Amino acid sequence: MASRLRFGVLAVALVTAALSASCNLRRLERQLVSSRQLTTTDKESPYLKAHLKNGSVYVLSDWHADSSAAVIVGSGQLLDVNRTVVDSGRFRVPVDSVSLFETNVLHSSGATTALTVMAGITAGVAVVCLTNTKACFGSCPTFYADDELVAEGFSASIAPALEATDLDMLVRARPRGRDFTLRLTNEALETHVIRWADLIVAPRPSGGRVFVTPDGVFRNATALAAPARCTAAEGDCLPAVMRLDGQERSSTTDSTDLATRETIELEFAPSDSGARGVGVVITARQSLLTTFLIYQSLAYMGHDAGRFLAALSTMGANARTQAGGLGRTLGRIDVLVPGDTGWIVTGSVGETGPLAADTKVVPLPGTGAQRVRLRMTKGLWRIDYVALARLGGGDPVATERLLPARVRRDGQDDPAALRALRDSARVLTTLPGDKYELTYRLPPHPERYELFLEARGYYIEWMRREWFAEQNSGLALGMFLDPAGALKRLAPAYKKVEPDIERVFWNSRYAKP
Amino acid sequence: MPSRSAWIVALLATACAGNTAPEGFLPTKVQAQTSAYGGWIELEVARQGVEGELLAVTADSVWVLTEQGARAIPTASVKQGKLTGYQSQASAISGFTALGVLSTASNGVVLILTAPLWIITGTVAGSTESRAPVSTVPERHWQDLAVFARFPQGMPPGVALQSLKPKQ
Repeated sequence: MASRLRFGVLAVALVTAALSASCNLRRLERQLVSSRQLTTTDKESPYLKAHLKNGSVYVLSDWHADSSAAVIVGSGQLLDVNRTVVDSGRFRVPVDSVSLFETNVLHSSGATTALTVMAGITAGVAVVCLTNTKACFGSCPTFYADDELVAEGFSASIAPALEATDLDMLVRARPRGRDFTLRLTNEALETHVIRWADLIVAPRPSGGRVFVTPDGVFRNATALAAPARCTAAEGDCLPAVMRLDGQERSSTTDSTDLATRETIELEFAPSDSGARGVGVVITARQSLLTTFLIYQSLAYMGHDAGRFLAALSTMGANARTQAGGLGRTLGRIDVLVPGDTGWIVTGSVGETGPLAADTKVVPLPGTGAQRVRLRMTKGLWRIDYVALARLGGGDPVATERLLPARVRRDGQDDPAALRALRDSARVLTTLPGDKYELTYRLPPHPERYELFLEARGYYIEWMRREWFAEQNSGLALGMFLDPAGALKRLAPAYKKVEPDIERVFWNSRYAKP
Repeated sequence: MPSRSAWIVALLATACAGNTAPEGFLPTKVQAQTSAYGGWIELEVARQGVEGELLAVTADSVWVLTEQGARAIPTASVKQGKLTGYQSQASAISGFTALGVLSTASNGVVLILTAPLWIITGTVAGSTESRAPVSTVPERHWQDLAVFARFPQGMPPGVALQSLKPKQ
């Protein structure tokens, strides 16, 4: 806490210094005017030099021209050609004895302005980071296609022991040719360890798309239909979820318990699904609640964070399961349908990560459903799109796995990175600011294929100095042993930062895509 | 050991913002408001360096008060020249920039952005500041240099050059 305070004081001191500097580092503007142009002299000049024809000069302060502009009145000194003081006091200098008048004015300079602005920015960021240290940008590997964020990889894998495979639908990707490039970036203070980043392509059915279920099964989907009605606590939520447009339905957390649930009621128009099943397609991503909680956990672990996360590798499956308790308590987006005795859960979707939305389909029981309920933790999910789709049956969708054909870094081929990504026994390790372009060779007629990204790996958050101040082993243990209690305890702290956390998070990203 | 004259020529050739003025000769910007002396001028004349206080300048002559006394030099014989009107405060900007870079330690992750921004801004600001008091010929007209001459109106008639004394 002391070091945070020191830095804060330093930032404030800097602003003060900047303001002081703006007074001292000014631009000097010197002007000469002839006696005939006396009226054009800069009256802001605190001093006036009157250069006489004989080489002497009056240096006057508190000066002014008399009403006829024939005499200059001021206090100061008369200096000879060697600048020896000849006389001093209050003078009345006849203008016609003067050859040139000289004025000097100090103006603020562009350099000072720039430095003052920088000081302001620095102090502003310092204040933000001091007051909200859990909102600094963290990302896990991010993937861009045509400058659009399309996927984030294995967001929950914050330690080697939690290495996992993540399958993301590139729902908005539009290949323009057979060479399809994804830009892989590391935009936060993290070390990313990527075992592979393969493209999975699946041929689309006529007029339809291919989605993947939470179990990783690819399903053909046709006749996608938006809900006829969407109702949540705030009222009508249909405009937010009826199109895949980035306009998301979201809510805020409960002020007493971050695990408090909410529901969204969906109604679909009756449709003829024939003998085949239907499913609910959901495109969603998390809010920054998970990010906050991960960072808070690391802060509580403090200097022991590395030791604890490393120990997960040797603590066995039970310990790793226990470590995921917080995530399980928060839960995913449960999909419920009416049953004989009430609403029954038929599946759930939602992966960790606040950056890129993922799309999944949850098959529904039976051959049709008009009412669907989504149940989720308040303030945790942002839902972009919901639709009912007719799912294909029969043979499984034939998919093809494509490994990167080319990897470039800074515009140059990187054969070592290519080898690492094509060999699952190796890993590609990236550091903050790293960017790679992964190019895949798509099958002919790429527009007929659905694209998915399968990435495997883990990442390690770099500990932030500010976090160490909160080290508390008891509270750290509580996050894992009593996640429900921890979510209640942390509710006030999160509610305090929740209104601004999105802005602060994106503004604190240090490496842009 | 190169002569001082050679140093002046070399400095002029590098077009750097430094100058050969004696310590304490150049006023600060604040002092320049009341100082009645000329700025420090360095000239290359027939491959020789000439330096001193700028006394006066016209289109065809420049008067310089050198260590050896006042000289009138035809401008046509000057290959290049540099006038420094006052002390730049580039060193203050450098110090301020260093402080700024240090202060980004308060920015956490974002220092990766703000620290380079400080360095870039400080470097540009320092460079601009160091060149602000400098005027060079032939880039500028000789008459433009008169604003920082002891006699901006030109050499006063009747003033004997040998009677002029340097700034103490």
